[in-house]
Amino acid sequence: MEPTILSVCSINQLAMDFRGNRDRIIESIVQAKRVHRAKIRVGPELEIPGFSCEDHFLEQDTVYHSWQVLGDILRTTLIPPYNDILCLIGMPVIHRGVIYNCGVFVHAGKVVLIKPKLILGDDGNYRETRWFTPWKGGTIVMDFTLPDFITSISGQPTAPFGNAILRTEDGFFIGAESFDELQSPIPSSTDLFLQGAHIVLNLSASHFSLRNLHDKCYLVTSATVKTGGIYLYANLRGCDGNRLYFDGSSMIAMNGSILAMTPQFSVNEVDIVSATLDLSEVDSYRTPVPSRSVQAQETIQNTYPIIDIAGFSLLVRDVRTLTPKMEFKEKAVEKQIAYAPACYLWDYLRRSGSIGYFLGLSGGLDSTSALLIVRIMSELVMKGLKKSIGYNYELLLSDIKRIAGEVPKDAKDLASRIMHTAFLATKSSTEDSKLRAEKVAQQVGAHHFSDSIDEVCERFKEAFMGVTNCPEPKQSTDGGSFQEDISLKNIQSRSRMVLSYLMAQLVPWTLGRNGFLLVLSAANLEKLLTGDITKYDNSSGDINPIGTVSKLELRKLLKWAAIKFDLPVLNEVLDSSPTQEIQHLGDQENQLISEHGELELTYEEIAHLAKLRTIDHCGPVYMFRRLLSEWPIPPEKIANKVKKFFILYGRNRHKMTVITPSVHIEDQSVDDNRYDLRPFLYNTKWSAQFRMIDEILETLKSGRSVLDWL
Amino acid sequence: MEPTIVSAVACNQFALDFDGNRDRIIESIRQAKLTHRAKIRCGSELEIPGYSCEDHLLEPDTIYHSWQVMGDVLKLTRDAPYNDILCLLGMPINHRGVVYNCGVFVFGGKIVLIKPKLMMADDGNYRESRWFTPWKGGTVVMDFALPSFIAEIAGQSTVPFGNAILRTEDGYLIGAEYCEELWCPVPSSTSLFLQGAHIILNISGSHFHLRKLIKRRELIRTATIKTGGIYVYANCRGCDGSRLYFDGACMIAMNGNFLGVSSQFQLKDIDVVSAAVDMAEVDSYRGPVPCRSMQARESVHSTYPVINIPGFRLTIPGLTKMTRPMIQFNDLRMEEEIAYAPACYMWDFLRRSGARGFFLPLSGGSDSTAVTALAGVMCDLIMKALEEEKGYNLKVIKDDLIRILGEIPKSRRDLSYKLMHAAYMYTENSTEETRSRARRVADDVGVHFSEININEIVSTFVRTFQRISGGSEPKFVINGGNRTTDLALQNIQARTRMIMSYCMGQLYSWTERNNGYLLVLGAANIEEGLTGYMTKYDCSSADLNPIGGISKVDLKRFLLWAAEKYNYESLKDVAFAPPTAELQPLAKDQELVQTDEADLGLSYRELGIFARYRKCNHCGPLFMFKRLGMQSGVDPVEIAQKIKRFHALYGRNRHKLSVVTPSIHIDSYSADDNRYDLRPILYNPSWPLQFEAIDEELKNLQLSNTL
Repeated sequence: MEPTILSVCSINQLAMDFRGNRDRIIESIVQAKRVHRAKIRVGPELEIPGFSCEDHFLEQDTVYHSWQVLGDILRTTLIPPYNDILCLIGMPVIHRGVIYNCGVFVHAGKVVLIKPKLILGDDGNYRETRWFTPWKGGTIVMDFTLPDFITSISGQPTAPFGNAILRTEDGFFIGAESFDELQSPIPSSTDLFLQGAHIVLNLSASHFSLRNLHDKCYLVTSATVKTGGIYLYANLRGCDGNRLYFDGSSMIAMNGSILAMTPQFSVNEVDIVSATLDLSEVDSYRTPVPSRSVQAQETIQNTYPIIDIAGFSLLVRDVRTLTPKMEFKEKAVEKQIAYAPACYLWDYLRRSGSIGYFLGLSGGLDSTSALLIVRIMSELVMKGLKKSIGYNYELLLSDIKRIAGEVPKDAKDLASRIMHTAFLATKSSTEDSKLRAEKVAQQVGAHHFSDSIDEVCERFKEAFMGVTNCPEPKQSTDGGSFQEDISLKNIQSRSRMVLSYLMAQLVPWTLGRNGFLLVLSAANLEKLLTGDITKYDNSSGDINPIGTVSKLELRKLLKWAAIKFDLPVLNEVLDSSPTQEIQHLGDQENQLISEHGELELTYEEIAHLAKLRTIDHCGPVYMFRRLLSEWPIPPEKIANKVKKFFILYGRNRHKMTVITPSVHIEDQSVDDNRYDLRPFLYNTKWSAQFRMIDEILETLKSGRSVLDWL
Repeated sequence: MEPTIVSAVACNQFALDFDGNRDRIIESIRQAKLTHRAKIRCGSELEIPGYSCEDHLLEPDTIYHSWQVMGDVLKLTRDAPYNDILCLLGMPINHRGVVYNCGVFVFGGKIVLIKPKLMMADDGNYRESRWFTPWKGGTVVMDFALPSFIAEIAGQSTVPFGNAILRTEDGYLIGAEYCEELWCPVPSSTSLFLQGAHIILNISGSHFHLRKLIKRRELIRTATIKTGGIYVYANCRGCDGSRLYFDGACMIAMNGNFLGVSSQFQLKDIDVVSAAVDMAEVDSYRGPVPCRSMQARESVHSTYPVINIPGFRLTIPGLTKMTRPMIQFNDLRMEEEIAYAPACYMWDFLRRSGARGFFLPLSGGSDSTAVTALAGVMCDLIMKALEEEKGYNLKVIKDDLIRILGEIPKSRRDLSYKLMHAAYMYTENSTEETRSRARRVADDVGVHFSEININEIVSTFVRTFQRISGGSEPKFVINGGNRTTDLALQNIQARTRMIMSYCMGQLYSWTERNNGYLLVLGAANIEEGLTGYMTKYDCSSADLNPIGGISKVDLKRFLLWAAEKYNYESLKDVAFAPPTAELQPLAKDQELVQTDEADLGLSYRELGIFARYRKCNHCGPLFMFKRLGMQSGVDPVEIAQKIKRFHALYGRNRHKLSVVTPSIHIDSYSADDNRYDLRPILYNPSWPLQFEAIDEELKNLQLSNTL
């Protein structure tokens, strides 16, 4: 037996909060060593400044303060027992005028190696090439001159910089890669394992997206299944200042199996798992496989330099039991949709300095879902308070006290203290929905108001008539034109927003508390995608927990929560919310009901087109072509649906330029700020594109196959 | 003499508008050949799909439709006279599963070469590596299999793909580099010129910002001054669907001199610049310089392949009159740039959005006044274009005007009165001073103006709140309220203006018995965005903000310039009036109590400086202090306190910029969160470590002073 103990941590960092980040990193080292007796501690990518610093990475400040924090970490590791743990810490480093995204190996107060990232994340929400340059130094290791104040702590004027393999005194090899390297067709870890590394550390900042953890697990296990070895994957946790929720799930894997994993959703600031394992299992897994050995031998021509870690041995003598393999099962989709935004909202709430949320509650599916997520957040927080200890407990307790004023008796109590809702009725509101909203607030847990805003809307109308000397604009039910009707509806919905902000500002004042509430907005993915919202109405708020979630998934969430938390009112909401319709704004061309009175696009269809658009990168023609084989309806109908979809999308895309930030949940997100980058002015005739669709239709009609068109 | 004519064109393209883009490209080839007799036509980067397609560049559709347009261009160039012009067009191309940003050389109905871009632009507003991969093939040229429908038109099944040099039948060498490559420390053009290229074509997608044209010109001058050669630079023009204004200004340079520059701000859909050059001058400039020749010889070891263009001779026999080098440039003043870029952008946005005009809440302050003046500048440019343009460009502008207004405007004032609608929305906190200023501004510029009383709406909001919450009446501080209630009352007024603006924007046409709508304009300057000195979702929330990227100080310069240039007297008064939000009641003596600078605790001049250090010099709190605190004549203690104040405001309010109205990119200090200035939305606004580091620095400074 060659036993050792290794650990990975998920810590909840906040971009640019160097003081807080330092405290959490040091706490994680303390826990890794004292609680887990670990020999290695791997942290997430860029953990010192926080991953989401974005353009702050271009500031000298960020690099300088990162070194300051590293200095504190070096000091911590100077003294026992922390001088016997190898730590990998993520931070930006400037080397010869180029900024690299680096992992810094620290041992016993010294910088052992600075390893720059080889492949940068540049798609989806990632944009690393804006701030960093990928390292192309191959097997070259250079001298890096440490800042003076670091030298005075570590006693080293320089440290090695490049891609090298570390060797412990007991002869084990340790390498490192990043998540983007792991994701590429030929991961760096394959190379490192073939060159004999026993352990590869991965520092990562991989954000949550629905149904994605399974893929991450697959990547981590696939890294060692053919080459053998130990893989330590550390991922960030929480909302660190942006639209992303980083979902932890740091993993320890060996020879293709997972041994340990931190929770995916947690309100703890520092989560650590460790595994006790037998290092000799690596060679006994590897050596008998001739194909691996042949390829391992081929790497000899071009190996990374070896750097010795003076005074560091990996083996731990007095361990008794080894960590067994664990079975991994991804959480049900409903739970993922519930917990990811719930955890995000908690981080946002405590870090924004506000004392609660305000939400316009219509009793419909969207706003009920948003309220439900706050309730689930409260469940997680109260459960966390019961389960956590030490550092995590103290923090949670002080956050709860600051926000809620005192420690609430249960989750519903907490929700009712921090969640304030209002049903703001107009002439067109029904008594049914008013009562339902009240019931939802009462069951799910919210401090609820209900009243009419008709008077405000009347005043707007009067002011308009006063200035233009025009007759009164009428709703279509009173014989008004489309233009009149829509603008009156817009006044109503925008007045709701204004009143929501007024209440968010003043409700705490009426309750005799200092502070303000954040305004939640609730509009689902399909609404945003097709522009079924009024610009600057209640869809405009401070944060939207469901903006990237499909209505179909929200229905699942409500169904699940109705049983799980015993909230029968959610079933009423489901029954009252139409599954088919999406109501449309604007002029006739914006409507979804055709001249023949049939619905041109259903929610299910829009949800599918949303995926084709964002995830499969289909424009009108390729979308149409795909659907020909997917939908068993006449091609003309498919063509009409695709055209309708793109007309709506093109006309309404401008609304996304100012849309409330949503936490990233589903990959078909329409977030224009970071994820789904599009123009906001289109030629909505799509003339060349639609002509092509018509040509394909003609081809099909003439009995030839689609292939002829290509 | 070895004379020829080369041309560069700026087309006002529109992302994904393949039909429109095709028409403009074909018209530009027509003009280059027929009007200018050019032998080379160089277009702008990604001109076929439009530069700002963004994530649409990931769609196979975009590449497919680009090939369709390319097919039409190939068909055009099969027949005389268009079979005697070498065209370079920009489009995305998928080669072996990798998408490259390419220039396609077309001649005589055939594709001569596809040249991928070597260096991606990834900073500021650019994000090319999200969609494209830079070509690292070095001197390798590969076979590219054409789509079968293109093969059929061109009669070629494969074409060369890579970085090669083209050779004409009369022996001239032509190379290309794209946009960003010119901006690199070692431009591709240097090695191409050293390898003997006589002409380099540059297809660019370079957007406007203040004073950028001068920098571009410097780069182009240096590209040929040491190596000799002809440089043909083509750039995009107009608003093609994003926040950028591409400012054209195509250039032709030879041996360090400029022979032609096309306009930067004109309402032309097609803008062709050409120059007649003597090819012999290139070698006579080069030959006598030994150090150039030595380095040219060194490039022999790693040269790009040479590809012949069959049937293409560059020189034009009988041409005698050469274009003379430009002696001076009519560089615009900064105020003019601030005026024309947004004005041109606003016209493109208006005609492409399908709206009938603009609506603006006009407060009589400098921000909304500036936007009104910009609308005036836009109308002046339209009238000028109606007078000066002819042919295609004139037809485009007439068609647009008829579509928007139903007729060609009779006069400049007639035009602005119909396109631009402004309203002064007053509450009991508004003063007669701002009201009369607003009225005079509207009258000077000649826009449709109305005054709307929103007092009743505001008080009804407050009353409704009281009824809902059952609480007491929120009051201003001056009337015995606290900061929270005071702020809430201010916000209500500001937000009411937003709703009213949209109501006017939607229903104005209805009052005129028309269909259609007005775009709502917002007016908030950069300092307001940065410090959050604005209400989220108030009338800073609109469809478009023409001045969101301009600082208050620059805005003032613009107002004074416009007052002079257009004789808008009222603009001077506005420029010198103290900025005020007028959301709080006046004190008894009726003197202005609420000024922006007093509210912020920082002057606009200081804010302007901080804004630059933050974005242009990439300084956080500590390095901002290190730079500013050490300057002579400043009090480090005061500067430290102000930098802290600025960052505290910034950190608390950055979330407002996550939903801020799109504004036109004007200068590099912009705070646009969508594309240009990417930042978190949530900060620890007490900046503990950073401020402590400032204090530390301050201590050291004081220590060294006492020593």
